[in-house]
Amino acid sequence: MKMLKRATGRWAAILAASALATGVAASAHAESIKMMGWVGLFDFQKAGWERIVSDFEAQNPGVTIEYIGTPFEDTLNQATVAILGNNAPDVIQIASSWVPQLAGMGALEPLSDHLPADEIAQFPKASLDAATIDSKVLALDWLPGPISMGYNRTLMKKAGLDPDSPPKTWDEFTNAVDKICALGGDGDAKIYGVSLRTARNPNSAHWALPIIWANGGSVVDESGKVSFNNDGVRKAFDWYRDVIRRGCSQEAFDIQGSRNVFAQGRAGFIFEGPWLRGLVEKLSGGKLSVAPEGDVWIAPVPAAADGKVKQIENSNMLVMTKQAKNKKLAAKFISFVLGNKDTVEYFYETSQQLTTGRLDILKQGKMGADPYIQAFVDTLPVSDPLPINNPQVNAILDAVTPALQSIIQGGDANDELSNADREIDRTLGQ
Amino acid sequence: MTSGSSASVPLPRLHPRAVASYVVIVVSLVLLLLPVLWMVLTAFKTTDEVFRVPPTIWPSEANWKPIAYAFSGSLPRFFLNSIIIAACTAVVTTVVGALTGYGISRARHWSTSALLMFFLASMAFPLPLLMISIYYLLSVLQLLNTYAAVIIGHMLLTLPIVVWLTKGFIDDLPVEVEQSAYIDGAGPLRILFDMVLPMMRPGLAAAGLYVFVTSWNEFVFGLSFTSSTEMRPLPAGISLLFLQEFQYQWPEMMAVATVATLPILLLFLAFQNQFVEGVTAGAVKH
Amino acid sequence: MWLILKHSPLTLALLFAPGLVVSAIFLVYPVINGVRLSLTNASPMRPIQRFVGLSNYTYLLSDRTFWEVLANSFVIVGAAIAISMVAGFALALLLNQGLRGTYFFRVAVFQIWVVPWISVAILWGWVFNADYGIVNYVMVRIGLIGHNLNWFADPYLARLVIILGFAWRMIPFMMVVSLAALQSISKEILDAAAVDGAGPWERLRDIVLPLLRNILVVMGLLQGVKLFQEITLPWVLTQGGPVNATTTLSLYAYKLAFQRWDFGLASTVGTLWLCILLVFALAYLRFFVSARND
Repeated sequence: MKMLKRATGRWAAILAASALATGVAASAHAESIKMMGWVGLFDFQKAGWERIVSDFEAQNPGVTIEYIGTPFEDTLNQATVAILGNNAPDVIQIASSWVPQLAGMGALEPLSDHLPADEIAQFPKASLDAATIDSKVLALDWLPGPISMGYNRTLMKKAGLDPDSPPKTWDEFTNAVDKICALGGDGDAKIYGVSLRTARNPNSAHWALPIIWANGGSVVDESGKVSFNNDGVRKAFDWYRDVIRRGCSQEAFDIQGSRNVFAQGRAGFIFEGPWLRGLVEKLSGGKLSVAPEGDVWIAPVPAAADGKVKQIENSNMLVMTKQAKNKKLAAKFISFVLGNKDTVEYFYETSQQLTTGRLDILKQGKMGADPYIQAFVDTLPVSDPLPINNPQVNAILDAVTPALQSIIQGGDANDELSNADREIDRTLGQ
Repeated sequence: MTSGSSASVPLPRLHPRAVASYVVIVVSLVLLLLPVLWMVLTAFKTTDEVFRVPPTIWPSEANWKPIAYAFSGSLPRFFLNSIIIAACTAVVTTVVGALTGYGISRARHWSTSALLMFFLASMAFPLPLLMISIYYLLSVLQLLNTYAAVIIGHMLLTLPIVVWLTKGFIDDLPVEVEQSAYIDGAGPLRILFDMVLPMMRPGLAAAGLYVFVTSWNEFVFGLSFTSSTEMRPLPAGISLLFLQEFQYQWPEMMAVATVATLPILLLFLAFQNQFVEGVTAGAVKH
Repeated sequence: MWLILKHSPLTLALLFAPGLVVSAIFLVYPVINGVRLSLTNASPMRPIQRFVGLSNYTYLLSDRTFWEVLANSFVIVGAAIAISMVAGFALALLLNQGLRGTYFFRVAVFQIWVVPWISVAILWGWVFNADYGIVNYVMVRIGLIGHNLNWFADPYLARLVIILGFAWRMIPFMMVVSLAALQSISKEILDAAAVDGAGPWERLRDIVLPLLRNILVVMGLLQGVKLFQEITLPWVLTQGGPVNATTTLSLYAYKLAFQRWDFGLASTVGTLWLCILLVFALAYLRFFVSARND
């Protein structure tokens, strides 16, 4: 009823076309931290997140955490709406590739101004570099996300491949995909070689980057300009087309769809981050185990022809907004989420993934003893954050996805990619 | 049956055609309602059962968990938001639209005809185009992420129809009553509130129902003008769920879809006749 | 009544002020401002707007995506309107015979018209699911197709799914309005024609359709204009893909505005859309509406 009154009150204000508006946040609590993100929406992460909230609230009487759940795909937009509407949350969970856009809007408060330098020094250098603008650190790794290669050991065995030596080069990888794909499976549960995501979503283009790199391509030319129309990208996208046309990967599946197929044991490979174990065990209902000798295990993505391995680092990071009301408290919360050993470890135990970017914590305790965690930690040095450091990065990726889809459908690669580049030029020229 | 005309038509002769008509009607009814039926049936199955091949038609046993899910988490809040937004929009838009409709109907003048045509044309105004400027406006007024933001959006979506509906309705009311009341010394405002409003009740109900239904179903304003669970209406809230983990938990998603449909269906069922008269009278006349 | 109202400015103000204020702020201003923004590089992520002349227009008109999207909109909306009008009118003819029990049928079918678009979208995602959808299962079972179709990956099939969704949701409205229109035709005319020996088909072609032509034409146009605005289905089901097959003008403009935050280009799309739709509406009415029986 109070809400209703408030809404109609504003309504009257608008009718009078008066710019007089009262404050938006009307929190009943003495002190609260508004946090936006998707961490609490996934079952396998819920327990860890709730523990973080309850422990922090217990240690800081009078403080409450207000959590605003937004799915990954929509968080950047929802955050942008909130920031422009002047009701930004204090802390946002973001993907590492969003730092440029939010920083470009002038929305981010430098964390290096609020957190001790020795804490910040514990984060991997590559991720710090990517989140540093004008020598200020704007975002810190929370759930590191080196996107590695998950593979189904059971299917590899069935296909006559050695599950203990997953493919190391792109040719070996393609060969393994074909062999697993040849298993066929029965009509209703077709077996795919690899579970690719090629839905109409910027994320599909983002996930193509390691495949582009492995095919010798690049998305930034010598002069530092973003451009997709080059041999390597064409080769990579042709590879997509061939694999899908051979029936060795599903077409137009989105993030969840590709995960589902893999978790049903119906695909040999998937490119995923450390959340893979939690997802597979949850989605398969415990039917697939993720272990060095189990059904699913992980390895670095296959190397390019020059022998170099290059992965994308798609961490979930934490940022503080400039609009944060109590910056000291928000900083305390961020520091707690990333550095409180008890909650970090509990979060790890319940979600089975890397639960802080701090290397000192990652390399000790239970995470230090878990080969799964360490396999990902080992790939951090070869994992690069998105190379496109531009506020419009999402728009750029959104322009590339239709080109990828069209090429998969048999469109001319040169034509499609030059069209994508045209859109990118417009976006960058703005 | 007792009327002369039906008695004069020999029944047996009509029979084959009537039977054929009934067959076509029943078949099309089944075809049209099948998707809705499938939605409800799936909402009572288990995740295991929906992935079974061949599919089962009836749930092997009623599973209430998906329905319970549709009432858990943020969903009750989305419901509440939608109810508040739809109700406020219905009241505000109906009042504003009816006043305008009455004015247009009674004040015959080139300018009011032009206004009527403007409302008709405004239905073709591209929503994204409108949304951009309204978005700026709301952000200046600090109204983003409030009920008012969504209500404004839904209001401009429905106002033209309400004006047309009520104008058509008032056209049918005899103007002489109002005129004689005026001659008897009643002021125009008194006439409006004491005489016209009571007579307009069915028309207002139809218009209000139309606005409520439209607001309940609207998706884009809710998605773009809100950014928190506290303010987000049902369709936007559901679409965000659909993009998340639950995308492939079909029973849960169907339960949510069913539960989102049910209230509006019941409301519509209750007031449908008035509504059909209002809408079709307008559509046929103009 | 006009005479009375003329002498009471207060009443006039009370009647018209709310509607005029609301439409001035939320309908007129946004359109004018939208046209202005289409000449700038406006974006909420940029504090300063710059006037860029017609460059948004030259970019858009030379962009093949725009033309694809424009064609998509007309194909998807046009097909959905055509299907729903034919089906709706045919059902109305059946119901208009005065058979018993048809009231129930009308009520049952009309309920579809209030099913929220979001529910239609989720439902369609399930019904047309590639592996477990009932549509694939039934079609394979009765031998229409040899194997399961991936409806959302093929441009033509994806369009078809959207068209069917639009049409299904529109049929009830078309049916109810057609029925009301049919009932407005006086029985005497039809009876007289029957006496003259005109069969049901001739009566439909020579009397009913010419009489209802204008109503049906205008109804089609209005519902088409409304469908042009609708984005829930492609938004939830395909995000406009595969490639751009299910991207309609509204989805395209919406994504430009609220995902790429390119308000300038989005306003350009909106302005062109408005112009194109107005020209189309005028041409359409001129072509289809006969002045004879207005």
